[in-house]
Amino acid sequence: MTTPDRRAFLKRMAMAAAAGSAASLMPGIVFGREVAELTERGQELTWRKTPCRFCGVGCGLLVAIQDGRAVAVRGDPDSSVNRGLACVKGYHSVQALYGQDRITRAQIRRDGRLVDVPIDEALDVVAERLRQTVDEYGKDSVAMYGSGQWTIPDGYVASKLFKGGLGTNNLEANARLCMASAVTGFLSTFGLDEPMGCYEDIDNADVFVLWGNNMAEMHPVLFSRMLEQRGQRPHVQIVDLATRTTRTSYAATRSILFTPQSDLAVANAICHEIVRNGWVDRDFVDNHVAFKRGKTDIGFGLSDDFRFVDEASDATWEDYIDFLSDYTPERAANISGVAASDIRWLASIYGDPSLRVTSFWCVGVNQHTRGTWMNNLIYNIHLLVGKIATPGNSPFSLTGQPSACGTVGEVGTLTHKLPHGVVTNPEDRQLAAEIWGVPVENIPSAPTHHTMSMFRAMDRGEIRFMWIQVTNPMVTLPDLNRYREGAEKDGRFIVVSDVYPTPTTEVADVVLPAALWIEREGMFGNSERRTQHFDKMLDPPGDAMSDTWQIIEVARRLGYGDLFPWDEESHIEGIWTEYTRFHDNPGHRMAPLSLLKERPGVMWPFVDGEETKWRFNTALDPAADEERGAFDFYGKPDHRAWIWLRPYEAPPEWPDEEYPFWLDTGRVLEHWHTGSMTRRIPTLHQAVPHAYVEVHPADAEALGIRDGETARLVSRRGSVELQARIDYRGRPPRGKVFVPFFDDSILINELTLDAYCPISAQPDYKKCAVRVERIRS
Amino acid sequence: MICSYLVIPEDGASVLVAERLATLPGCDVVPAENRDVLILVTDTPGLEEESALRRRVEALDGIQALLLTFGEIDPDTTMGDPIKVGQHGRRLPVLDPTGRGDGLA
Repeated sequence: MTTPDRRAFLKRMAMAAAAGSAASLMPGIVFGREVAELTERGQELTWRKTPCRFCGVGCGLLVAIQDGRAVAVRGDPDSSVNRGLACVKGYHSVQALYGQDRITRAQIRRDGRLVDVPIDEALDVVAERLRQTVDEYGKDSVAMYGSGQWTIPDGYVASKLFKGGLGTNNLEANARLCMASAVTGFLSTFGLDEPMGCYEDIDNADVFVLWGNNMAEMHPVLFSRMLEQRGQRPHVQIVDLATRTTRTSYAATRSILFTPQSDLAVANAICHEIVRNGWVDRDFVDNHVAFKRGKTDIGFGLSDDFRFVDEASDATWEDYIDFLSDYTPERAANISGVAASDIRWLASIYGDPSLRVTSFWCVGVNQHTRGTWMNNLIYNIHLLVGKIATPGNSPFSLTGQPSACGTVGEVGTLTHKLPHGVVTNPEDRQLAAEIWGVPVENIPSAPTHHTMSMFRAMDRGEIRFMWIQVTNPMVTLPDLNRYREGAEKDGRFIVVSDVYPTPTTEVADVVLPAALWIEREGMFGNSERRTQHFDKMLDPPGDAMSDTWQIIEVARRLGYGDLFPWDEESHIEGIWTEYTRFHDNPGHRMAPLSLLKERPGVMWPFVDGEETKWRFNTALDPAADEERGAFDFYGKPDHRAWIWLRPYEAPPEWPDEEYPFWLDTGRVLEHWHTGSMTRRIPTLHQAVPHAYVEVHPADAEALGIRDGETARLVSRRGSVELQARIDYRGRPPRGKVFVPFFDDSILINELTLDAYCPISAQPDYKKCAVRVERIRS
Repeated sequence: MICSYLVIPEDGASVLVAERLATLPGCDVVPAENRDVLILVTDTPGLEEESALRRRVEALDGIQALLLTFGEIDPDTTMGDPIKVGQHGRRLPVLDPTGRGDGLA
């Protein structure tokens, strides 16, 4: 039972948390002496800063520790990201540490069952099997699959071990599934990864255009900042461009629905209208933009032997005008279902020189068989009107995971990347070899497998050993049945490091207990280039160990101890010092650890003691050359941003007579990804206990399905049964259904298609064809 | 279970909302002195009761918005309740097909 003292303490904390949030929302608010005293008493607790564990916004949190437990959470008022706010996941985040089935002991599968073993024994087995596999099948038969929830040190030591030590580029991360198209979009348009702007764009924009981005649920704190701006500046507009009506749509100034995949046509039609009406910023385009064509009819990556490399060729302004002539508003309206008048209105918003416009997007654009193209096309709009890299004018790609940018983008935990640059570049390999202290020949010059290719290689038996950390692919991979069967085949050895049992630990041969978040020291990097450090605040339970240290322990057993010379007390500092050597230039310099420990986060490039808030703007970015005018897109050899001629192309699977509905998958506010943590937080679990299928009321009526009844979804690849919901949170248009993927008892990815963008290799979870069946009781 | 909320009343409804909230069991209310905002702290035996109370609060006239600012972190009541999700990773029937969200939705 809770003691009266403890209950009174909790009530004081609750009151103080509310007062703190109110003060952040409404500076100057006064609640009287009682609350003031409580707040002061709350300040007697030791509150320690950390970025939130859930999502890529990077809210600063303060966690109170008492008697070795995390006892309270509040938003960090000093964090410029959230200014004291947090969402429901953030407020409940520390409860994820304390689920009753937390993995606290290492396990090895014996006679089909996972049995507890000492962690040293498990680490010995991991190293031994990894070595045996390399000896028997070659170095490219072993792989590591990590995550955008890896800390920066986790990803760094993984890259160093696999690329510098073992000598294989078989290193991937689940960010391939969420933001790879954003990366290829950045690289193809600007030559450099990550947004040029920052969250201060929210305070400066007049119009926000959200491209397939349900920010009210996926980036709730940023969405609340937008709503706050609209409250303070009534002319501010929020435009929701989406394929279903969501909480974001309901709160938006204007909601516009489009047919899945047709955003390509809508974006080009907006450009068509910008050009036709003379809204092009001629000076900007002439001085800072180049035009390029890529390949077309590029396929969908559905076969194992699929290979694709895009090629840029020069195009002219006239070529571009000719290309856009296919995208009149009327033609785009036919493809998209968006009224031509709405397309013209959108173009007028972007084209009005008096309005500052910020576009936000995330996986709605990225999980798309033409995800790279869609990123390019949004940049095209902003580049045509010169609305970029100035406060409030920002094409802003948001990430979903806390360190998709920091660990995957910046550390480069993908097959083709290094902590600086790419494996195909001899200079980048040389730099890595020098910093790592390995022969340059150790680092292979060719990428091996992206994520889908890696799991296909495991299915075929070319990859025999895979170590999975901080992610749950046996829930998240599309066309899941194939990849689970592949992982379960004889001769595959799977190691999983995690904090709770999941469908992925079910296929594991070894399970390693992982320290979670503030049980170890680390850093995340959020969507706006902000690196955020957190200290170890708690001891992990049982034998749980950080992912970083697990990798170091295995590396030492493999004989790579010289590459990891740090002791357990100071290894994070050692790693940061070494890692930041990769980025020691004005375009990417990172803050020293001492500063990261002081502040809620620091944006890079961090040059001469200053954060760079808007890159490529020569007045604000020390890496940009003032002699090139107001902007310098220095990521490209020609110092120009590239407008790409990217057409509309149809998706590989389309609703038909047998499978007449689009299936869209995604997340809900209360659950983080596959729910392995948030479903163990009672409040969040009870709020949304199970996955469901959203059905349009007219479709439900036609099918004879009532709200709350069980329905069956069937695709060409699998089927699930789940509760049908009508006008619950959102409403899909007729002919479309939506299912969240957080529930591991309803594996919706058994239905999805493993088609991907050929440039980014990111799968499309947003569209495949299904039928909906009523289940008669 | 202990939770706190910020309650934003509709224009002119602050006093009325405070009075109504104060009559609900397990509710402590502190109005701001210079804004139309209230702090609501709830103390209930467990999750179900908290959810029921929240629904009652949400149903009151005069409330424009209810923002959760604190959720109890107490090992004796809520923390670590086992989640009955069944065998992972296998196609299972929905365990609670009539289950509904409890009010956060």
